[in-house]
Amino acid sequence: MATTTVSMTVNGKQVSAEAENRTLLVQYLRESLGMTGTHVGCDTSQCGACTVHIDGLPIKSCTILARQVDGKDVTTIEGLADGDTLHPMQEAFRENHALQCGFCTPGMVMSAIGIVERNKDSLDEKTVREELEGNFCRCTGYHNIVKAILAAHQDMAA
Amino acid sequence: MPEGSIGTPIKRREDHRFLTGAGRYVGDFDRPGRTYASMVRSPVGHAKIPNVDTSKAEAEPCVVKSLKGADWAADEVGALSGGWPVIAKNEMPATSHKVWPALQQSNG
Amino acid sequence: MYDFNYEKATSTGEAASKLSDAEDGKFMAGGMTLLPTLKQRLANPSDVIDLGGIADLVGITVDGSSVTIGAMTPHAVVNASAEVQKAIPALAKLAGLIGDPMVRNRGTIGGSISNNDPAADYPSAVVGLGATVHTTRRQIAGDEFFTGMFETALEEDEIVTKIVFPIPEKAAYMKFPNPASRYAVVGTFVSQGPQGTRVAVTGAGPCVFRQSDMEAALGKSFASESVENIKQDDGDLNTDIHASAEYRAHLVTVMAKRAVADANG
Repeated sequence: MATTTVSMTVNGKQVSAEAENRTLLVQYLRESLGMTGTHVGCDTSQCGACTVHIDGLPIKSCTILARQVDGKDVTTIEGLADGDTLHPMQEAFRENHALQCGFCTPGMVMSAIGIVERNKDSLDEKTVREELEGNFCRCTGYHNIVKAILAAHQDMAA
Repeated sequence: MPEGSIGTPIKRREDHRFLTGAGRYVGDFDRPGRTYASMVRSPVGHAKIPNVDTSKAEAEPCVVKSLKGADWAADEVGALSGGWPVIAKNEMPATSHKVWPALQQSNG
Repeated sequence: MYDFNYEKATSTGEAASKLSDAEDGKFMAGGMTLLPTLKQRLANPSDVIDLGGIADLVGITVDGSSVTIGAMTPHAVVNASAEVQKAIPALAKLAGLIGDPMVRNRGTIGGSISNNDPAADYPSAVVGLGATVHTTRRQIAGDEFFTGMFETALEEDEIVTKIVFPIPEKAAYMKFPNPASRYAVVGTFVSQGPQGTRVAVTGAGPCVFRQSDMEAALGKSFASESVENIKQDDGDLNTDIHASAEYRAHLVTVMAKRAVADANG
């Protein structure tokens, strides 16, 4: 199968790898770059486990071709922490017990950062729940996830 | 109250790796000869299954093997709790129950 | 997904010529419908021509009488636009009801109307506001654009460039969303303004349509009481796992009533 070299910035690093035209961004990240932090839950753009940021905006990496992302700036769950210091959203998830099995967590965290950035001035529970509709968790029932996002909103504003 | 006392939540040791993308799930391992299974599910409950025609799927170059209920029974794969078959053979126990899985070389 | 040739166009002219060169090419806007379709192997185009690199198809301009949205403008941008929120709040709100935030960051208005999914939201705004669809070849009245289930007036190599929405005096959109997909089981867009009194219904039938009985009644008196006893004929409506035609017909009236109340706010 014909491949093309696809290059992009992932978590601040310039990367290049061969990809087929049909290779999805999530396959490129997981299989070509070996970055398995981004998960495939449903593979049908519903569950949000594959959420990453492209040029700062959360998108579902199972529903975009790697070639569409050529030259763009991608942030994944692996790129959030600063050394041993967790990102405020990761820290809030930990503090609030917002995860159990952890499978949805990378997508939840990436999506949650988008929620806070879209609602910098004020954020309430209803908005968090509405804007989480593209992320499924099958363990926690969302309650602690919502709590964590509201807590992180405070921390990120501070 | 010190952490760990009765009634106080305990920070989980495993959370750090799950939160930083360092968790290891089955789908993260890449071993030689790895295959992916895709399941065909029934759109209706309690339907009779007179026949499952897998010839078209098996003709696809990426398909390694397709398994029907009879194959699972022949291999003496046990049932789920309650006696439900893992893969339905003659009758669907419920909507969305699996009719047959096909193993493929890629997940595309 | 079957493999295909991938081409990225930097202008509409280049995109159209790449499509003509292809054996069986497909344009891709945001890809929110096309990619899932390819993944399920429901389509097998020889070439996918990505419109994502055509910068002049993105953007919103508002003047005293209309809101113009570039075809490749994502739903999230329309939803968050202070100018759209001020000029046609119903349109900004509708954009925020599509899919989920990640889908709204990729999905585009041009892609949505060109695909013309029977349950998509935007077609109801195009018809419900009497918008004009501008393409690489011509201008098409909203009423003429949607011709059937997944069918539009577009020619094979014709690309939507922008949509011009006249600013109404009043407008609102109400939808009964599928709880999983957020697609409209039924969505009703009502407006009163330079394009007359309009009631456009999506999700209910094979294609968006105008509810003329309701339009006539609202033309006399734009109040929710005017529509509450108007029944939608269920003859041509969709029946599927989510709702029967009869239920959808009922929802048309309920959503219309709520939309008028909202428009009168």
